[in-house]
Amino acid sequence: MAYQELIKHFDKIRIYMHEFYIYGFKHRELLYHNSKRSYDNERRRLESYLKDYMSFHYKNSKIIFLSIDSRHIEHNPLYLAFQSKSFTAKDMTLHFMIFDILNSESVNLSLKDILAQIDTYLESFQTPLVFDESTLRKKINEYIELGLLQKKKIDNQNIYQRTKTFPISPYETALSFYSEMGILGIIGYYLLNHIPNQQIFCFKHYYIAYAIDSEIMCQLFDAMHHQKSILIKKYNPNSHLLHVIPLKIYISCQTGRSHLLAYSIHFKAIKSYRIDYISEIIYQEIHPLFNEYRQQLKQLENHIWSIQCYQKKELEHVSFIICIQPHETYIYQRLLREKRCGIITKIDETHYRFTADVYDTLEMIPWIRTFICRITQLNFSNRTIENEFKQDLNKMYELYQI
Amino acid sequence: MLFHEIYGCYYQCVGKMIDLALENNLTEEKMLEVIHQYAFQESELYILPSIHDEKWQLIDQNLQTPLLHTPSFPLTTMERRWLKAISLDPKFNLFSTPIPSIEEDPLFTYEDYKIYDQYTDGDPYQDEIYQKHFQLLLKAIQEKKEVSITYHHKTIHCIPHKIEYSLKNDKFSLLTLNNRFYKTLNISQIESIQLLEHYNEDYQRSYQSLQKHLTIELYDKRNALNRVMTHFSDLQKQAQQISENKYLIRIDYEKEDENELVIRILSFGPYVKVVEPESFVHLIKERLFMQKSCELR
Repeated sequence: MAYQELIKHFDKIRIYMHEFYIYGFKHRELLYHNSKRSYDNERRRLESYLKDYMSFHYKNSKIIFLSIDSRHIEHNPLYLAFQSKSFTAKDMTLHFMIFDILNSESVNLSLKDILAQIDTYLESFQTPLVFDESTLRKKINEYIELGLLQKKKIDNQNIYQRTKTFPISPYETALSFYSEMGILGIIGYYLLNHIPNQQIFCFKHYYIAYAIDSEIMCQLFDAMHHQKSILIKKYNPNSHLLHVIPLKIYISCQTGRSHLLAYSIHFKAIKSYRIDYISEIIYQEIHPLFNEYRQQLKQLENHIWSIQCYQKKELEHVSFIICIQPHETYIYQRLLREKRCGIITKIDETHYRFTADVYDTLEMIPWIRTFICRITQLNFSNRTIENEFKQDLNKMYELYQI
Repeated sequence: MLFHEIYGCYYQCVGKMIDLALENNLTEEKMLEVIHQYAFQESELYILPSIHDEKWQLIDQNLQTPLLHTPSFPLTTMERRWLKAISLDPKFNLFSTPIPSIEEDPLFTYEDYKIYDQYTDGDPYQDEIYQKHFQLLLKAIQEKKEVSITYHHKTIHCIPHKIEYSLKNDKFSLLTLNNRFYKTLNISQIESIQLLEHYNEDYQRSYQSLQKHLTIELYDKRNALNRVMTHFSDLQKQAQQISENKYLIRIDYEKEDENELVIRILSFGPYVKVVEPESFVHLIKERLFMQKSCELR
């Protein structure tokens, strides 16, 4: 099939966006997955969608990458890829004609009346398209489903009108902010496309790659809203379908990753699943124990440092002491604002102890490492991890010849 | 459904073109202008023939439209539910008046998600003085006015450029244009604000900050490559594979964030080694040297 700029499904482009944006060092041979033509097509599409952000360099072969300093962008450029859904000529024509005919909330028309008006419009063209009632009904039903139109019954006849107008201009500033910093900000970006806007915000520590997984996240919220269990399909071809009850999405603003915490029907426990590894979600039935499992998660939360909770294991005790000089109150402030659980105790004028009981000590290690230069004592109940921490420190001394 | 043609840029372009045709202002040049502004790099190859060949029967070959009204659309249920969801955020009051009642349930609530590593000393969004300062700054930026700000007991005259938000810190800062001593002001620490005269728009230029870079060598063990690349994906970076498990990554950053970057690098332990510049290597060595003197056993 000849190359088309628009696409029917988002899944392939999603994989390539992750590859080009997160990694950005893989060449064609490493990336073509199933077919070289597919690689060439997806690359060409992304170059077209993200014209100003794609770069390449040569090292034996051409390596494409996406590199963006998120502090200097007005809108997340990855949103552009979501505006690439393909459609038919009839879809496009009907879309504008239907809303031109039902141009205000006060216009109520039957299917026949709408069709008659469409036929009048089509007379302006040399070879008019032909729409039958069933095509129009299908499109109108699709728009009712999307919430753009509503149906009423008057004198035994179905009458259609547009849904209530909602002026969005007064919310321009809020939309500018939440289109970037809000959960599922892509929706705010769609709304902003309807109004002129001036971006007065910029963003630091902004992980724009979240946008790539917006569709999956949206489906997860939908499943949680309806308290449904779901089947999760992962990109890994060796992975089986996982039957889970989605409970909460855990988003990191420091690592660029987000996870679903869900009750696994198979393991009979709450587990975490990386959202960027999920390729598809299949809705199942409403689960009667949704609220009970959510309540369970709430009770576990005090001991989850990041995303891991091993309900069947004992909690691990973590304790460390750091040295803070009297003029370094900002370090104490850091401890206070960065700790997600646990307590801080002052030992003497220059030493403070942090203690917590968590499901997984390993998750705390990156944070504890940020205090390197002032750690005077470690005491982990998980001795293996404590020893590894100390060995890693020795490796760092070796790396930098200290 | 997020991925739908009604949100697509082809629909957006055609909407703009119909609008121009209704004003009898649609020309070939204007069509190209619209496509370049709203669509993709290659879109003109698909949009223009579809209009010229009357494939999409909305604009005829004379660039006239049989439609009668400027295109306008109601919001989808998903859009309304999203608006309701964001209106529940405590920061929402800073930006606008409350959203009138929306019948549908919000798309998500705080029960559905958690930002688990956000710092806990965020700005006081419910504080009335904070809200007043925030709104004055918004007004100053929108109306292009200079401001006089009392900050840490000093009076500062500056041009407000943008308001920067950090999700990690949960704080807003004001970026200023013409004050080299106060380029960034924490909004929560502003004591008072007074709006002054309009500034000369010629003065408006892009915000300049001192850019630096560093290169790290990464040894891919325990999924370190994925963790590092994702972690630094907020910054401009370029990676190169140098051997089977080794990678060189150049990361660009702003000078004012150097300390934070030292901490971020240290959090990866021995999987990441800074190889240049020497000044940054020195910062890491200094901390390791101090750590060694702590005699942790």
